[in-house]
Amino acid sequence: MNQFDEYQKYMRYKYDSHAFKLLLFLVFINFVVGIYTDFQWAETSGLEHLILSYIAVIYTVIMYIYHGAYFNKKQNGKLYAGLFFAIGLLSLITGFSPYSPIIVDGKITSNIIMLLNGGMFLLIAITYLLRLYLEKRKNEKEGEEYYD
Amino acid sequence: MDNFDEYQKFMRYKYGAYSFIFLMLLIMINYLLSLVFEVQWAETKELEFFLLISIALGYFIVMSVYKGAFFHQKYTPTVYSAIYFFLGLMNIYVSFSISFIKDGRVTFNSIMLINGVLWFLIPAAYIIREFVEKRRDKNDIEEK
Repeated sequence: MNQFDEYQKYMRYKYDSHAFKLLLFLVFINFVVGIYTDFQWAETSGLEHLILSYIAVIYTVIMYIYHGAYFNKKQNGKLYAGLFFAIGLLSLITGFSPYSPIIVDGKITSNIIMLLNGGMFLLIAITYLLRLYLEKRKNEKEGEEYYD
Repeated sequence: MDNFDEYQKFMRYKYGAYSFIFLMLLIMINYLLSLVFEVQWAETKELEFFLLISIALGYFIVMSVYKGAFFHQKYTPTVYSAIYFFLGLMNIYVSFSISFIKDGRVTFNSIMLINGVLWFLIPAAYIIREFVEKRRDKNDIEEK
């Protein structure tokens, strides 16, 4: 954590702890639903939990990027975002192949992991672009106000 | 979170983050164990997960109490720790009358014990914190 500045560290801690709470909440709901209705939406319940933890991890990663706490000062954000975009696209394309069905008998199979991975990488790139765009617009607005 | 001051907020975020990472590590190890060796140490997979979460939660509780970030500013920690102490003691006492290991696997009865231990950790960490602080104060005075 030493390569991040104080603000980045604070944001990382903040959204990690939010993700912890989110995960506890999701697991609790899943637990209650599982006890009362015997409803299982994935092949094994180990996979269910893995998907729930993926949701929490994706949440925290997106929040990192949106608040500018994902890349440290030395890393080139645009380069990494481009790389992640390519990786995400590749895993999404391979994830959607007909030989690895995602849903069998109404239950999610472990092939979803590839898709989740791809989705996460893609979301990283998209969120980074969104952040760049929002920052640019903010700067433009501030510039206009300055010159008016 | 408005009832906590800046230091407490930071500490809560920090240890919340650590327990999240810790939990992710535990989940990953458990998933790999069940995938490769087909190990199952609790009755159902849900229960396994529940117990792993309890470990992470216990870590968070201990660290936030120890760093003085568990109780609000308005609350009196001694009263609350006493209440938690009795809650924990009751839960643990009741849970010992039922067996929580069957055929080498942890059963659902262990939830009561885990609950009791989680309650119990609060006063335990609080007492240790008070003890350490007192000793530190004493050392400071002696040095002067």
